[in-house]
Amino acid sequence: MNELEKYFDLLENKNSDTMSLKELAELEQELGDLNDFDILESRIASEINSEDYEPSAQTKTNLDKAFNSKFKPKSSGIISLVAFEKSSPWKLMATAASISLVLFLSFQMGLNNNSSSQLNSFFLADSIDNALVDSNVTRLDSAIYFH
Amino acid sequence: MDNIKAETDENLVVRIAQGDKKAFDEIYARYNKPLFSFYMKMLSRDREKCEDFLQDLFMILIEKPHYFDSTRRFKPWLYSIAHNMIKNEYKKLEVRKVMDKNAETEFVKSNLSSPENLTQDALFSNKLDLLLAKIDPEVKEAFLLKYKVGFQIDEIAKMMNVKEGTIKSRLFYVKKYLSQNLAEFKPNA
Repeated sequence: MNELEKYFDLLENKNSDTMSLKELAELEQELGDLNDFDILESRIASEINSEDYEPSAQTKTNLDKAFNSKFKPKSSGIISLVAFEKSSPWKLMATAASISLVLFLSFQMGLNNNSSSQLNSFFLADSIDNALVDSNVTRLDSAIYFH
Repeated sequence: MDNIKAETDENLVVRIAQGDKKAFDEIYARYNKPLFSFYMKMLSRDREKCEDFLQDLFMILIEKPHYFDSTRRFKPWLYSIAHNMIKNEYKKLEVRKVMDKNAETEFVKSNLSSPENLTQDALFSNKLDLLLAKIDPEVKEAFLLKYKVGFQIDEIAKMMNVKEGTIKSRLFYVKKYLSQNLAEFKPNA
């Protein structure tokens, strides 16, 4: 505890006897010096209050998402799928089409087990990937939403 | 009619705990700017960090609204959390030295750019910034909580978990330090 803290403690607790009268007088003198601050006080206060900053809109958006995910009721898989369709029907269609194609190609590969067919399938699968990229849907998305 | 603007902070937090989004929006509207400004002042205007801190603080309100005792005042509680976050940050990164450096550089740059064009107000503002950046963060925080946020000394003491005498002492030092270093701006100087 420094001297000044002792002084303020003394002011709060009159029975305290931690400082001599001389020390107290010196501190009183120092406190008197604060008149200088009083002259500048309003300017300092107005300066530190004039500077206001604003957070980005993204912060609020993130908080809104967090709030909604905490308080909105959890939906089942089918409801999620419907919600997904509502929010992004093109993505859903692209995902469904890609899964159908993958299933179809797997089936074909099973029936026709030669290398050229596999190669064709590979290129077809690659084009599906490209389509998914174009529509901002990934295979991972498909796996998540149809799991 | 639901006049949310007239609701007390404390009631709004109770409503937030029940999932009332409007109550959350209102609390955010009341406190996002003052808290963000407070963080900016305390964390050397590191905007990205301040955004994270603000988000984390409101996340506590979303995730753990029951941590707030509704029989107490909300504003000191909120700033107590902000204080603890800043304290942890200082411990973790020891930003004190970096802050001094940044503030000094900022001040020097702003003065070097066009010193003759700076008005007295701008000079005052720059110098005050520099001086505040140089003082001990805990002392600075007590000063900002008093003069920027408007808390009473007993509230600041509880928030910072120190005696009222300590806060008075910190405020005394800031005042003395500022009055000495800003003497040139006194009206009769």
